[in-house]
Amino acid sequence: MNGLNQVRGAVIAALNGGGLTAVAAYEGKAKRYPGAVIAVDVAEAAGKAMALCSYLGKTYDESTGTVKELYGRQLTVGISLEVRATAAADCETAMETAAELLMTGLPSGLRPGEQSWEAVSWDRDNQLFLRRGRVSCRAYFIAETGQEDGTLLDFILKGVMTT
Amino acid sequence: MKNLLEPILLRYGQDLTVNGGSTVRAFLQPVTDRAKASPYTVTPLGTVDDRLWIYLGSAALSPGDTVAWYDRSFTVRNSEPVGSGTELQHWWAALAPAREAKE
Repeated sequence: MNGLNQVRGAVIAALNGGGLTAVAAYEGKAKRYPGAVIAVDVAEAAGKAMALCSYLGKTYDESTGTVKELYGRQLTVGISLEVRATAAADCETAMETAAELLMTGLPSGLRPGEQSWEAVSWDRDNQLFLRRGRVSCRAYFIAETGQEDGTLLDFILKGVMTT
Repeated sequence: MKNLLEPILLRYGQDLTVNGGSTVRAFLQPVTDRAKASPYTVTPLGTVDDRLWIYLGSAALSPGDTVAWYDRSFTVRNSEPVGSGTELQHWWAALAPAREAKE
């Protein structure tokens, strides 16, 4: 999973975990939802290396008894949120909950900044009320070298559980 | 005038199920739009089949009613009574394909 998908996935997980219904934007057919639904997308992103050539240093892994090298990467992202519902009031309620969850429920590697929300409008294509929002975040990714051959593994959004 | 429509509906119309209950006889046809090459509009919520279907029948429909025919289901978006002279002749309605419910 690439960095932008990780960011989008983390936001969707945080919103769904808080009791809202959030989906990735532009995926499949539009469905019918019992309440409000939030389409999440990464609208803009800019990346930069952390530290010297992304190298953060070494860390000792107690579980394996090995030393790993850590690399870091930072992205500045603008996340687009579009709240839709059959009633304008449901849009409003879901937006308020989402705004709260974005401030408190994101993983540690995704730090929210400024939020902005537009007024409620009518989405003719979906026949639903719509409230658009945007939140800017700084996303931090960590990669470490593999245990056996020392190759650099994928960058993972900090604070996200992986299996 | 309404009596003239009934035998035509009986012979050429389709059986539609309204709101999962009553069956009505009516004409149901897609709106043909040559300018629209693709049946879908892409939105952040997903693709939307925004083709409309036209209903002509003697049974009244209201916005929000559901109509089922064959293997398709629709939601009534708009409806109007159509008169001829002083008499109600039939009901016209615009239907949109119903969306699948989110599992």
